[in-house]
Amino acid sequence: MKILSAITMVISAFALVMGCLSLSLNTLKAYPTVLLFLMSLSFFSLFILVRQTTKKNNWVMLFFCILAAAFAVLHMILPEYLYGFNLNAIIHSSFISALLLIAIATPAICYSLFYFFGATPKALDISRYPLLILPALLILIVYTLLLAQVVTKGVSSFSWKILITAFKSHNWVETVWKDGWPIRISHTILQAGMLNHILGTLLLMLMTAIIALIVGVGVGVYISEYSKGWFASTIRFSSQVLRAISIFILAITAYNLVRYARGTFLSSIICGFYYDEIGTKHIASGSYLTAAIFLALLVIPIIANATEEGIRSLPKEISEGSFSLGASREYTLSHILLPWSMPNIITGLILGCAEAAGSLTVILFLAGTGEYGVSPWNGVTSLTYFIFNGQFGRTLGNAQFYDLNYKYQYMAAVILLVITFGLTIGALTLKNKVARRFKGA
Amino acid sequence: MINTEIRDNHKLPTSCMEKAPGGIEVIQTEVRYNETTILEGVDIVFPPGKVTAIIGPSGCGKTTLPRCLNRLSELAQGCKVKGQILLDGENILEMDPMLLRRRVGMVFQKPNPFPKSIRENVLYGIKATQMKCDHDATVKSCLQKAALWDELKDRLHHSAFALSIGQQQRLCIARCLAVNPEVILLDEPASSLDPVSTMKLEASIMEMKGEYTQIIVTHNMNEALKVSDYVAFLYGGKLIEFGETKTIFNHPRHQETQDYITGKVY
Amino acid sequence: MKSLTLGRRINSQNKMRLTWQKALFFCLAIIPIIVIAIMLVLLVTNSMAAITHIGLFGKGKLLSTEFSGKFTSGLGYYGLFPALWGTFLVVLLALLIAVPVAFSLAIIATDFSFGFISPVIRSVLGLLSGIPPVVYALTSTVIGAIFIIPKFCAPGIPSNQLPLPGMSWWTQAMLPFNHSTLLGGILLALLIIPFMAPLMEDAIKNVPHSLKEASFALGANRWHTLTTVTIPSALSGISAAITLGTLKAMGDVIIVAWVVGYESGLPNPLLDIFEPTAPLTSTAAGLAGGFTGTGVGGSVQASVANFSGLILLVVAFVILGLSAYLQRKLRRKYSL
Repeated sequence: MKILSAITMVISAFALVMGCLSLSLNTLKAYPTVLLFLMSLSFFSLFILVRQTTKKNNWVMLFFCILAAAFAVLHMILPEYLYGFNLNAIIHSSFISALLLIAIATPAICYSLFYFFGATPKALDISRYPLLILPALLILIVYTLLLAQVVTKGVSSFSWKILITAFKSHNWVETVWKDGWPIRISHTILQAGMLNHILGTLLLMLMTAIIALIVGVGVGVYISEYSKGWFASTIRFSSQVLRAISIFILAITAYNLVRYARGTFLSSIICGFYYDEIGTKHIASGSYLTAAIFLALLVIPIIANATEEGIRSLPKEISEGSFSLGASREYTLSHILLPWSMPNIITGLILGCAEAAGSLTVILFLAGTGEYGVSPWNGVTSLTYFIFNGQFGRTLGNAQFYDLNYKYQYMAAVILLVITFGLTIGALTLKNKVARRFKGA
Repeated sequence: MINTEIRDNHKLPTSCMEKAPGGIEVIQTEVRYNETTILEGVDIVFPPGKVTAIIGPSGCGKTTLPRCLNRLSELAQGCKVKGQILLDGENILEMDPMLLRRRVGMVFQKPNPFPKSIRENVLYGIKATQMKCDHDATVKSCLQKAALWDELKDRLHHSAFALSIGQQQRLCIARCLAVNPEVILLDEPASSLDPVSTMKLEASIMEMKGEYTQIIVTHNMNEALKVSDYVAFLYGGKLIEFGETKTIFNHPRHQETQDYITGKVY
Repeated sequence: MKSLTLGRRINSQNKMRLTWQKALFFCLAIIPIIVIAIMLVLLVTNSMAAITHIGLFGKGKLLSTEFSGKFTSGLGYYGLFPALWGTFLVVLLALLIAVPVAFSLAIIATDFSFGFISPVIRSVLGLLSGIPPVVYALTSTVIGAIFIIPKFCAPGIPSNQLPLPGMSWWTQAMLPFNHSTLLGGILLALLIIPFMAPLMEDAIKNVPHSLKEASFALGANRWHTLTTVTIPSALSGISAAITLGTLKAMGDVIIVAWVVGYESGLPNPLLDIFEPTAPLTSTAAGLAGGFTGTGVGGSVQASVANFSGLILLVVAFVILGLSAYLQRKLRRKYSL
């Protein structure tokens, strides 16, 4: 029995690998039929052996045996390309064979493991491992591939000059007076660069963090300290809704706000403004402040939750001890409760910053090109918009951007990944350190 | 009134100085939580400068009474206090609770030091109430009074969580003394402690007699005998008997007192 | 010394005096409520223009199936049904891929962990969850190159043999090289797996240990305990995780805009995942002018964009409501 199951294991493992490879390669045509027949054979022999040793008929194995044989026959008669039914694709037969192989090999490997380890309940546990490991492994391989591609392309296209130059694509018309007649001279500055995008990302992160910290802690403190009952539940519910309704609706609201604010006195603050080379003031289509406010709305629920959890986790005796010494509620709040929740709040803040750095939706709706400098009142931009423009710049009418910068798309992606990974790792490791400092030994 | 005499005009006062201890009178006080009556019509006079022990079986209200005296009971929802409680003649129920708690301090059953350094713990009350005094001298004298100075004098910046339970409880006493109260409430202070720490705690209580009025809730008859001058026996939310320790333990007037002291099952 | 009545005149800490801190915190705390109110008001009022000018039912009206890609105002049809269908298709595909994978990752990380795997998986997932959607969109070419183009676009056929007999020219032209719902679904699945897996992990970990111990004590093995005890108790948490993953996939703009497109009609066989069917979010982004470079689109388009946002909000609330109902039923059935 053991030898047979070992052989089956090897065959089905091989089949599994073939199947996964077939998901990508088109050339493995000879193997699937043979492998399917082999597996059908091994299912059958296992069935016979089991029947001999335990006098029981494992009908499922017989079913798999017949199925494997049927699949093998199917694969033999399959044409190379499948199309039809008005589907917009020409399916290569290797896709079908990959599916068939994986479908048969997984039960095969599970059964063979089961019988290899002696058909005990513990063997059943072991036999289920491939079922769990296969999807996880596939996905991890995919992630590795993607990240590897981004990183290698980004590193290979790295350029210091681009990193420290600001992107400029300015056209303006200068009027010069000569002999009493105005002559219009048009000037253009075209400069490839990424600097204002990087600085823009950092500025967005900073502003989002400040706004989200203030409002988030306020919400969390109010819910847990000053109000009970239905009002607190309403506030908590609305802060959770802010997170659940996704950034898309927040971005539409930002877009609406900008459209309303044009032409009013708030247009400089909400829409952003800039002065071009001859000093004319233009209104951009969305300022850093607006974008930061709406990004902060996404981070506020995290911080409010963290604050509430922190305050709730403080043992009641410590806060009673504080009151019994004559401290007021506010003093206890600022000296005992908030330091206790500090680890949670800081972790939430850093994760929120990472989210703000990677967000493109709000900036997309605010159509930020951000060429004229980085400050809360300028048009908004970010590294993510750089990547986006590197792909869509031509159709956006931003052909100059595309022509100058599209080679550095992956470099921007790598920088963005460095920022977000750095923040995520920082958040996770910092939590323990900060906890030790604020919560005592 | 808070009696902080400034010894030297150009030097900040040390806290934990001598001053007159306050006396508490509880007049016809009734305490209710939602619909349950915990204490009914209790009349006690706690003599100033002496140690009074409150004894009684569980559920008789002996934890509720001290919590009323510094108005911590109000932190619970649905608690209503009716009656008069006078501290040196002033009704505490009309005072600002925070001012009250500077005059009536409390040591809890389970030691609850703050997650800060030892020095910060002792100075917490002073900073919270914005009292002006010499911080280093205060820390030294409070820790000396709690018999901790020799053990901790070179560890003042370590976290209070690193101390043993006995040390933590004495730290709580030192912290309580730092705001210079008139009355100290002790809610079963030795119940989490081992015998050695309990002995040190009882020594501290004996030392503080005369300077502070102490009200100690205990379920340990030996402790009541050893440290207290007066004993109040509560049962079923009512005060059954009040008197000097020797009298209560040798010649109790009520049958319930006799039963409880001798350990008869309730 | 007057005697007091039941604490009404007590200067009680419970009464919470109005300090400036309390007022400040109150102002901060009502910001979420105000923001949501403003959001709803803006959304509804801006959609009103579309509803009144274009109308809801009928050919080319908002709830119909014709959507033309003309962004000049007044000429286009703005039927939003294809967009809804696109969202449905792409989110369904993403869920079909992501839920089993996240589930197996969660099980490996908690109950079936061996050795050092569990903390490694958790940290890897934590790291992966920080990847912004733009980066996923950028890598769409890789997935196209290794999976979609070899399998579905027949690169091995020389062009003089195309179209293959029985295929129409139109189908031939629309092979899913870089734009298809399938690709969008795969990328969305990659996006929501690191998001859902930790939530499912927490749900499984919150099953009280005493239940599992009781099962082991009766002689059951780990797999049996998992399927009969742990997973039923964790079902409400798992369904919460799936709901949140669905909402996140529904609301994603960048991946779908990049990979699926932002203007299209209904696919020809309805379930054709090889055709790009722009979901609601990218349609709205396209209407709002994000892809034409002008920054702010015309007012009709803006209004339709708002209306699609409204539809998305309604769908999201329906899903949230269904999930809450399901969770309550599951909790009552399987929890202690």
